[in-house]
Amino acid sequence: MEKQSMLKQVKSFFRVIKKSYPKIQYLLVTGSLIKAALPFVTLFFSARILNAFLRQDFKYGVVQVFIMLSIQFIGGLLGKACDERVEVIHINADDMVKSQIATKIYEIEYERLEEHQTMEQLRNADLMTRGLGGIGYQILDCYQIMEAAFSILGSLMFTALLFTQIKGGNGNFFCSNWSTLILVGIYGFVIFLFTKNNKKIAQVFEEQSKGNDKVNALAGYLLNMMLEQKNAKDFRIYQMQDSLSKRLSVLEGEGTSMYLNTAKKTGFLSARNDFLSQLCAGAGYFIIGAKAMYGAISIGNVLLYVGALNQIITAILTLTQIGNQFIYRAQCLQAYTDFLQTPNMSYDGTLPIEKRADGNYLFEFHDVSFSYPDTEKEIISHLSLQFKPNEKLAIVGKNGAGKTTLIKLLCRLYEPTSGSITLNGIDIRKYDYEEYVQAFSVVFQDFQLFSLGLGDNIAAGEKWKEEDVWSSLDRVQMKKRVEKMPDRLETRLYNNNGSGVDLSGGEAQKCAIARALYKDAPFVILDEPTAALDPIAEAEIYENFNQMIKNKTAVYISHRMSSCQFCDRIIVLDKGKISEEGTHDILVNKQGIYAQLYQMQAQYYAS
Amino acid sequence: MEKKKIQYSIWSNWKFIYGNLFRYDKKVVFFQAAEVILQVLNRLALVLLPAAIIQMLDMHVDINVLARNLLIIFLIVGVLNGGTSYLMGRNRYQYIQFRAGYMIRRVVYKVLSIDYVQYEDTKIQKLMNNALNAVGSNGAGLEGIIHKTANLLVAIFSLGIFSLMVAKVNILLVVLLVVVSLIQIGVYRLASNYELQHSEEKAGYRVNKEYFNRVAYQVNTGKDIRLYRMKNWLTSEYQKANAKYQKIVAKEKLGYFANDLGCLFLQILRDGCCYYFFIQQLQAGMQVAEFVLYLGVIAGFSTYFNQITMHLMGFQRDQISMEYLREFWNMQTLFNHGSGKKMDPKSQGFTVEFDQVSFSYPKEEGEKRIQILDQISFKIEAGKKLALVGINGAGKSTIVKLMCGFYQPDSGCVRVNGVDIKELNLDDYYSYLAVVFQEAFSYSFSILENISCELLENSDREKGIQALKKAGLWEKIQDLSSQEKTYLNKDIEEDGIQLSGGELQKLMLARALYKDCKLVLLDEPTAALDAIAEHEMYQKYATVLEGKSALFISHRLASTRFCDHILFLENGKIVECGTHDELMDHNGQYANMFQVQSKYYREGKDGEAVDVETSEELFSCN
Repeated sequence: MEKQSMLKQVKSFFRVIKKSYPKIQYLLVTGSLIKAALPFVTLFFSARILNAFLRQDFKYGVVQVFIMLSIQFIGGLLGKACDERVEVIHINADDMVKSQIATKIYEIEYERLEEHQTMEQLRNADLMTRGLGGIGYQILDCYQIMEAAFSILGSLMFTALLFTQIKGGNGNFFCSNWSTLILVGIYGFVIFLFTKNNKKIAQVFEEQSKGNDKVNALAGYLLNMMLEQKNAKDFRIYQMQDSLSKRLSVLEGEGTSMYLNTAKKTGFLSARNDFLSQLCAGAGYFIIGAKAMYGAISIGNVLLYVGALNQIITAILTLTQIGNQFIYRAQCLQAYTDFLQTPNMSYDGTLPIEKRADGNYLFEFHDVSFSYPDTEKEIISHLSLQFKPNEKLAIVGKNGAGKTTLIKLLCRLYEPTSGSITLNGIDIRKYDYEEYVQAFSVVFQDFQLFSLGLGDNIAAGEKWKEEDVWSSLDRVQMKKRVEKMPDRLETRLYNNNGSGVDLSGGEAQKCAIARALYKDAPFVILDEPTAALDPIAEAEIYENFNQMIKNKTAVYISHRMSSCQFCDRIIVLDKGKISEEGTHDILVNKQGIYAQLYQMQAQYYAS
Repeated sequence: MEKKKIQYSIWSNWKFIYGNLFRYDKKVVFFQAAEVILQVLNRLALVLLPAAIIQMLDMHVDINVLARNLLIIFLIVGVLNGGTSYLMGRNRYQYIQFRAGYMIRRVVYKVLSIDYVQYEDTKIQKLMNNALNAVGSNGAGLEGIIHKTANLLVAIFSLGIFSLMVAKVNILLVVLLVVVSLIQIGVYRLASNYELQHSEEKAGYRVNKEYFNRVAYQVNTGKDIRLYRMKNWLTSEYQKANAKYQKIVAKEKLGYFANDLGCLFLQILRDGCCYYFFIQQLQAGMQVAEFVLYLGVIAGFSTYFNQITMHLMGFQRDQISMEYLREFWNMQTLFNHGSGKKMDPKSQGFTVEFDQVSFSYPKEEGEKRIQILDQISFKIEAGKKLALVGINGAGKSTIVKLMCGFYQPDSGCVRVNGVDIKELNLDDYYSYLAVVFQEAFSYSFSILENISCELLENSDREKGIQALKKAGLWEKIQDLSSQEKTYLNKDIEEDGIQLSGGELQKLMLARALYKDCKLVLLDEPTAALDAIAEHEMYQKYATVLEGKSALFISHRLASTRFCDHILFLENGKIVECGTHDELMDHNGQYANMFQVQSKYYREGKDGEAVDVETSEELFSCN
């Protein structure tokens, strides 16, 4: 990814925000302008009031007080109103961007999702923006930067005004523009030192965070795994408390001295900044005070001009402090905006899937090979295969033979590295993806149910026919269990999204199968879905399933050789290739892998 | 949810936090005190400064005097300012270090040390999460209190000084300022009460949002989401959660906006009154410089007054966090850990006896307790293998957890080598116990560390290699360049290796063997393996567990063949027990289940279901 200019990064970020808040720029400009102007208003009128009182003109002074308070009230009101809106947007921005990202993650090609890099970049962006307070802070920071910029403008305006105040004093140095020029020079010099110092501070931070990368990664991993619920039993039985805690002490040990050193260094640098800015203010008071003494300006105006000048220092301090963070965050956010801009599918067709009552869909693999990007090893190697309509096919093989990959290819979760897959003679990539997946009911080994309503889970959506959901549950023998749940089909599953009902591994598998049945697609795939079921439930599911999907094409993957016997044809995969093919009776006599796998299990059951 | 009662006073929390901070680094506390003092002086200087300058100008002092005085003044202010900055920067990092390094580590250690039954309790889970949150952020909870303490002290000292200054002019003015500030606080409370009242609700929606965010990032959800076209559903659920959250936020901020307006109005009113008062004073001969000073003091007064109340209210919120933290911190374990009876190290395999054990899971109040185990009695003799068979939900895993000492029975007792498990020293017991669960997890450490469950320097290499050899994993590992020091997974080391399901189970076995255990519990360890890998594991178990006592749970009935004794469990009761042959002869439920599983492996493969009548009669087990 090429590094884009800051401006572009900020622009693309705001494009994302503008999807929900199209008028945000007006809000930011108005708010920051008012907020920047108010201190100057106060300075300006305070000077007038002071001058009035110094000349004992109380009537004029009272009028000025009245005007100042009125402006402060109205300006404050408007400023607060803008603040309130920006604050709300700041809080919501996080959710907004994250939900856009989530939707995008659902849309991109599965292969990209599986790529370590894609998710890693997003995860890093998440981690880093969290570390910087969250995505929304980019908006707040932008708001503050604009305010600082307006403030600098105001400050410059008053400085220019100071150059016009040269009356009186008869050419006295303090009444001439030379003194003003010198003052401007001093301020300029200090600002220069300031920015240099701040750059150093940023550098120290960067060095520290770089040096800390490894410690942070380790600490992140350790904390996660130590708090992971599924590890809790092992930690106790194998008494890992002390050794894990010792590992975690990297946070306390190496980190501390490094952190403290950074803190001391940056603390010292910012102390230097503050000291310099005070000396600078002192010089300001001296030169402008002298102007007043020699009558070039009124005493009240001393506070005005010095105040206005000092605003520039405050503003620049804000700018450099926030600026670094802003730029750094803009780079982190780049990962989000880039991700949102990438196309969903490298190739997506438009053809709809023909709706056929007879389920006459013929899928074919033509010399298909697949290997993961940047790897040599072929997971699937020159494989040709036909899935005949209404056929029941079993795929068998050792762990790692390529069974699940084959399914993923068929479902277009992966694209073949070479060769092609066709449906009724047409390359499957030519079909509209959303349409294409309609053809499959798949239960993967690592199927996922969501911590949402049970009915929603079965129907994989919010709209469902109650009757059909019940009948799917009935067919996997879950109806009775669900009828006992507190809110029946509305019951939330699991507890990680608010309180719900926990399912055992076997029950979850049954629900996943019910989901596949509810979808009622013409092509059914079961990828080792019964590992957590007891033998009785397993046998029942298989026997019922065969009944349920009589008119459908089906593929079974299972380590239980018994399940193959329902099938019309068995394919044995070995190292990405079909090594054997045929019915159970043929294969069991062939003395190949199938026979070996079968014997392995059968020997235990020989009576 | 019920309102959290405050058990620990702010004093007690201060004692707790500063006690720990002091233990962490004595100097931090002194540096914080210095920061407070410098800040107060700094703020005082800020008000005095303009007045002093106006004074000098009004008096038309000599230009040299002006230069000298300004130099002195600004040197002092510069030092004060710089010093404050330095201390703030330094202290801020120390607080983070203290919280993230010192406190988090201790809380996490507690998480690992409480008894499993406590850990599993949803109430304690919530407490634990809240306790972790209390040490999880910079601005709130534990660290929040540290920051607020400093700020509060600064505000209190400054307010004290400023009050004295105003009181010198007119005590009534102090009364006015206090009254206005009190009204402001009242208005602020209204707004913050709304926030507090809705914080639980917000926390709920935050859980939802986090859940959907997590779901999106989980790669393994990706397949189902695509194939079942769940995008719209999940997106709309996510947005629903967001919308609910945003609605509360909008109201909350509107409340604060109303508060801001009220405060603005009061502030203008107050300023108006003060101007009125001081203009009268001016007319009566007050110096303009003094006038400038008092305007500054009055502005400062209100600011500090508000700050004090804000900090105090912030404390309230942090106090609630601290409640969770302290409660968790002080939690006692239920079972014996350091104390209790020790095992006899000489015994070869342990005997385990369940005597009339009943067990039901603790439920939330009002819900009925569901009986999981109902007066179960059985015995594993020393060095013998027992298989536990039954349908899902029969209570098999609960028996394993009872043997682990994770739970205690409701009635009856579990004895190991004749000693009630309640009286055992669990730490000691665990050094002889190995358990392998279905889901095997490797950690991203080196292979040896995964087996020894210790740091590398405390691991015995020879013992590790022996264990790996016995488990049948050494052949693979000896060919790796770093051998047993090779890292697993890629979380920490980029060249870490990935183990297959079968290898992972071997690793788990090696871990059990490294321990030189005397009792092994195997809870469905082979469910995810292919037939060949599964067979290999069975053979390993049969040979390497020779002489050790073992409990084996499996849905593959074939695997029970290497066990000496089989228990068939149904609805928390033992329905049948005996050897495989005895149970087959008995022709009961076990035989039925075996038939179901084996029918397709029979010669001839006629596939006829052998329906066996369910036996109602209890097979005697003693």
